[in-house]
Amino acid sequence: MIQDVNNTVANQKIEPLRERLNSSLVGKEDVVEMVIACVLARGHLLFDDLPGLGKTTLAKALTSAIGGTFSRVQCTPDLLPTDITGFNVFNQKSHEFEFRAGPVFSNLLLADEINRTTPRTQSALFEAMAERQVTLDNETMLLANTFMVLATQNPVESHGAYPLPEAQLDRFAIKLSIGYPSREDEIKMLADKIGKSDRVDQRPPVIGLEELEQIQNTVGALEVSEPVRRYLVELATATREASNISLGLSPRGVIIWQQMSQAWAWLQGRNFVIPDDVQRVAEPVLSLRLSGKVQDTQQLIKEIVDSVPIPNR
Amino acid sequence: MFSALIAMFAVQIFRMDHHRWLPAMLIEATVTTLIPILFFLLLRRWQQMKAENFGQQKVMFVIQGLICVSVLLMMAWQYISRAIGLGDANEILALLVLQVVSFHLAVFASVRGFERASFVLCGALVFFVCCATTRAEVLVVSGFFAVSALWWMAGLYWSRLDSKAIDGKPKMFAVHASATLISVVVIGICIGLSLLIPLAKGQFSSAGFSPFSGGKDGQQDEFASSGIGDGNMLTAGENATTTGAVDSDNFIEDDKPSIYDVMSEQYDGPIFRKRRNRAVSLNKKAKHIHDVKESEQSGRTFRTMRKTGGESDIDFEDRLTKALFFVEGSVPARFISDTFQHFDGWDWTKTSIDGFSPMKSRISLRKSSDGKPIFSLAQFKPDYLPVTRAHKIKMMRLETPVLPAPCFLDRWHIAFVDKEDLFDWSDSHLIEFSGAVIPPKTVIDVQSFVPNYHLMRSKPSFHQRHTVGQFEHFIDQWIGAAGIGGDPSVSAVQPQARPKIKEPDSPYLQLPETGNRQRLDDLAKEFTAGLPAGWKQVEAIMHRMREDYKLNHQWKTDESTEDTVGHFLDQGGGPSWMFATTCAMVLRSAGYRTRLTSGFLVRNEDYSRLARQSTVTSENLHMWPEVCMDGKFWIPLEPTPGYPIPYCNETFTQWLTAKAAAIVGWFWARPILSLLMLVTCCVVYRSRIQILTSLMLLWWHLVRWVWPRNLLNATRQVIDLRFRLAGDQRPNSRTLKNWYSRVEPQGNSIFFDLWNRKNYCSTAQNLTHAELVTGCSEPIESLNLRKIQQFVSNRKERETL
Repeated sequence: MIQDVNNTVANQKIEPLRERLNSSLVGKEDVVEMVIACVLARGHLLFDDLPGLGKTTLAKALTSAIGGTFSRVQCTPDLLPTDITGFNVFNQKSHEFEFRAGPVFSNLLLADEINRTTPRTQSALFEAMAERQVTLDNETMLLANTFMVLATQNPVESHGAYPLPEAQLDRFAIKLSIGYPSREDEIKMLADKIGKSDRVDQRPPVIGLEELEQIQNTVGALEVSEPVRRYLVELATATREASNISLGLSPRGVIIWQQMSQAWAWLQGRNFVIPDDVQRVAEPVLSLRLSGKVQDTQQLIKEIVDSVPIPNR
Repeated sequence: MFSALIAMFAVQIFRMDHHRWLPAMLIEATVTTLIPILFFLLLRRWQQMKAENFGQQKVMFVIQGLICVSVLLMMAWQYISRAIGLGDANEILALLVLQVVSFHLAVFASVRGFERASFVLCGALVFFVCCATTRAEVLVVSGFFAVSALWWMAGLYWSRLDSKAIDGKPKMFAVHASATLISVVVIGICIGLSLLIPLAKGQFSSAGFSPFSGGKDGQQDEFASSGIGDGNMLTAGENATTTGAVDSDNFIEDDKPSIYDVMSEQYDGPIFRKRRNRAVSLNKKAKHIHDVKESEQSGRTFRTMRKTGGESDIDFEDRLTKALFFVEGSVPARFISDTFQHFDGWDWTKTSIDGFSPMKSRISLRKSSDGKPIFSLAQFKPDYLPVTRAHKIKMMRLETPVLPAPCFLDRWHIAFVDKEDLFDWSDSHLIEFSGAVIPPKTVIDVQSFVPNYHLMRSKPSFHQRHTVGQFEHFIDQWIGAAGIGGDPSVSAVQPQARPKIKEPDSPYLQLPETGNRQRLDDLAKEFTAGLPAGWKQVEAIMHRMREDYKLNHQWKTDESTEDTVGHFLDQGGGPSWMFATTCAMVLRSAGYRTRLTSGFLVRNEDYSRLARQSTVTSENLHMWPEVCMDGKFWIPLEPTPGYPIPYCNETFTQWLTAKAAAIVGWFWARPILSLLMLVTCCVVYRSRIQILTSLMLLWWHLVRWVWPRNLLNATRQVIDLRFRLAGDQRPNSRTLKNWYSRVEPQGNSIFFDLWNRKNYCSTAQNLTHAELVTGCSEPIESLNLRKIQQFVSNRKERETL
């Protein structure tokens, strides 16, 4: 393949990150690749799968691999919005209110079991995720450029769980399911686990924030030609016109889809987006936004992609 | 676009009335339609090449410039076509310019405002054409336009409601007022310049839709018929439908009686002459005109018309019609003037009919439902004459008492003529007028039957040839009757009665004493071999005559020739009357009652679109044989090649069956060739996939050498075709890599990359011809048909398991 030289060099910077994540989650290279694409696209990531499949492990691995500050919130029903955003306290000494920053003021926020907290608390993330800022007591505070939310949720349990509203879901870039590993991978995983503790990986980060931001800027500037843009819009229109979908893709969703396609194209060593990229990221982008059972959603996404001709075929 | 096409059709239909040569007009219309489409494709190509920072204003100027170019091209063509005698009048030209502009606007309808402007122009054009012509086709076309207009307006309404959709806003260019103004001015100047082109150039004149006489210096144009002074009123006397006041043979008094004079008591009385104040002496040219009066006193000739002052420039030669009669109605048609029964080897003569003769149906006069007197023949309509057709005949210079009736005459009508004994049968089995000649200007409506050859082929009563057998002799003796043809009332009362045959004495089976009869018999046998007796044999003889012999008007017999038919057969052709004679002799030899008919054959060329009638002159004189197969009707035949087969009727099923039978017959007659073709077809069908892929590969190599820029696309076409032929067509939604990689997961990366860069990347990549060929050759070689077929079969096996 004729690859862009700069992209190839940049890809080499991503390779350690890829290795670190793959070592944490054995046999799930596709998921890892999509996680990296989401990071490069400045998107927020939602892991949606059964318990014990490695959601949190992967999220923790990602946080440890990327430099910068990391926060974790274990979402529970009694969690309050201020527990996420922070709050003002009155300093008796200075007779002034002081701001105590919440976990949202970090480069990476892991919201574990996000659907166990109340919608009230979930909503505290709206502004942070969409606009990368927090407004408290009429004061707006900007978050880091590389701010990213990694959330996990368990789709099976319903007691004591609060499903994320559509508006919240739309703020995530993609939703990933990890799935069970293959037998061979599971055996390998067991072998790797012998003699190791459950502690968080103490290895140093493999990619710095500045580097990451640089790559993110490059990815965001990748060329998306007019036919591909038109193709994206045609696909979005197809989701809106499909009779069995009540709510189609929003313009914000199309933008995220384009960003994900750019990131995927960059990971493939290209400096322009092709319809293959759009189709490849269609499922994680759309499964978040189209309601229904998982199997039904996959079929629905396939039908939608199949219904729109590619440009310049 | 659809509306613009309809408007184009309307204008062209309207133009048909005024154009001289229809094919030229159609070619011109096609070219003017294709030019804007070509412009559109070129412009789109240009737009694709310069997709970035596309200059919308520049495009606007370009489009309007293209419109001006088209208009200028049409002007230039008009100038040239006028020089060669095909041009249109200025009014038509103006219409055409508007039509061309409207069509251009429709083609570039994506530009803001163009679609509406085009629609308004088209509407105006269709409305104008509707008002300016009476052609039914234009009304139909305008109906379509109305429907499309409603559809368009409804679409406009709904598209406004739908504007919330992301792609609801069409890509539009802003119209620049100055560009539009410049275009309008340029087109206006073009029209103005075209008006300066002298109309009389080339010594002809054109007619538009406004009154127009053609100019004094120019030659009188046949299409200049709608103006003042030389329009329809002047020529109404030469119209088949008129009997009005202008029927004065172009202002010259006529002393001949009309048919109404014949019916009046004054017919035999002295001619009443009008008194005139002055008489004008005629020039030499007019002296042969029969209408000119001669002074009894001085012996000079006079024109009974007021002198107009100055020297008259009327050319009487041109004013007098050469028409024997006019015909209104469908052509080709045949009108019988005389028949002959006896052929002595040299001449056809009328002999007294002795022996068999077809029935003469009684002529009856009855009133139609609206009170018109109608002469009709009391006869049963046979099943092989399923439909009728009508003609209107206006007698002019044909001086004959015989009614110029079409074949299979059924009835006729002359306005207000209700004397029953005015017409009777002649000895030649023709309807004859009781006076000396049918008066000129008499308008006769005639209705005749139209035969259906398919029914005649399967008609059982036609299958018996009229040869004399012992049984027929026995029947004749038993009936004990002499020949019929006498009492018409008998035949009218008993039209189904079996004709009493007294053959071979029948004059319709007579053969000349001279000549070689055996040769005729052999010919008859050869022509009818393998065919059942009846119409099929008659048709076969006619068609063999048309195919085997050559028409040549120069080949004639001389005085020394005793056997005309033999002479015709020896030289392999001759003029039309020799064809008719020979065909008649062969038919008689084959046992079919035949006579020779002379009359007028009106062909398609004789029909004038403008006058909507056909002019019959002496040049239409023709001879043909007629055969009688059921004892009632004489069926015309046309053995002369180049002349139309007599008019017949057939249903679509019959037409289809006949064509199918002809095709089958063609193959049946050529067994070896048919077998070869069949084998070739089978081989081609079995190897169709290989042939197609080979052809596509050839195409790929051609592109590789001639048009390397398109090599990527050609490669894609070849591979796609291979997948399609292997039964695994690539869906529209699948990318090349996605689909091809299933067969060759690791290969063709260079081709995919080249393809993606070409289609989805704006950065130009400088590739050498060799690199391009290498990249494209890889999939051509690796994704061969066999490998794809193997992949498909493996996949099917997996699915089955």
